[in-house]
Amino acid sequence: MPYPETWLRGAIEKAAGCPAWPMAVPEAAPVPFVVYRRNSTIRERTLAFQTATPVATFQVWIVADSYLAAKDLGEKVRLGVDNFNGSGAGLTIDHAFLTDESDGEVDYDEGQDKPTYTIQQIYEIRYCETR
Amino acid sequence: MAIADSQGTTFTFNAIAFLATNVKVMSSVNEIDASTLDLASGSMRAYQPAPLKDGDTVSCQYFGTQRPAMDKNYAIACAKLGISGLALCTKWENEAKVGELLTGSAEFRLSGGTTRDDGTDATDGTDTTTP
Repeated sequence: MPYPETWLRGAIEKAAGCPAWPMAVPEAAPVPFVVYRRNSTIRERTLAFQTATPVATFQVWIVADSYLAAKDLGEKVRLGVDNFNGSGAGLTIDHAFLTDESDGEVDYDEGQDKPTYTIQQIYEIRYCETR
Repeated sequence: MAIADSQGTTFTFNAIAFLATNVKVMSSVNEIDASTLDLASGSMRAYQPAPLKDGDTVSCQYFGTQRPAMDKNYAIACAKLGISGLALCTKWENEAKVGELLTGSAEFRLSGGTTRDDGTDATDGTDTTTP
């Protein structure tokens, strides 16, 4: 079954050149990496039926070992995902918009003396759902 | 009076089934001021219905870019609101908005002979006929 997650993961990995993980990262995953999660899905209806073009909102965390590296990676992800429309991963995507971007927390992993830096991005993706 | 669900409502005009998100029927009466000088000072004006009246109006909001024909009366039907007969399209609009589906809206004036259930009787039948 096609999902927007499949397209999003592929688009991020192609643009950023690093792995994109759903929800959480394996403990030994090397930095940099990207994590994505669906935050919400809005389904519009007519009075008679479902339009089958939901709008899903995704949160994306871009993690790197320096602030500038995280920023650069964030830009690569933006260029690969924002403003896309067309077919991908067996799905028709009407639009993918970057709607918000912010700096995340600086994180000191256990046993690490260098912090990791996070950029957060939020994407809105409208796609055609199988009926 | 029973509370009914709007879902399942269908709306057609000129044999076109609209992807309706909102259908509204509105009735009003043209009034004339029949006040005379013999009314006491400070009393209320005396209004009465005008000798001629307008047909009820129907508005519809929908997904898509339908542009209803405006050249003459066409068949109109909305079973859930008890509308069946002829109407003239008096206005339409199409709208494109960032991140949203294309939408439209239109207004119609019911013509003479068109029936509309006004919901005031127990039989829920066709109890209003535009002369």
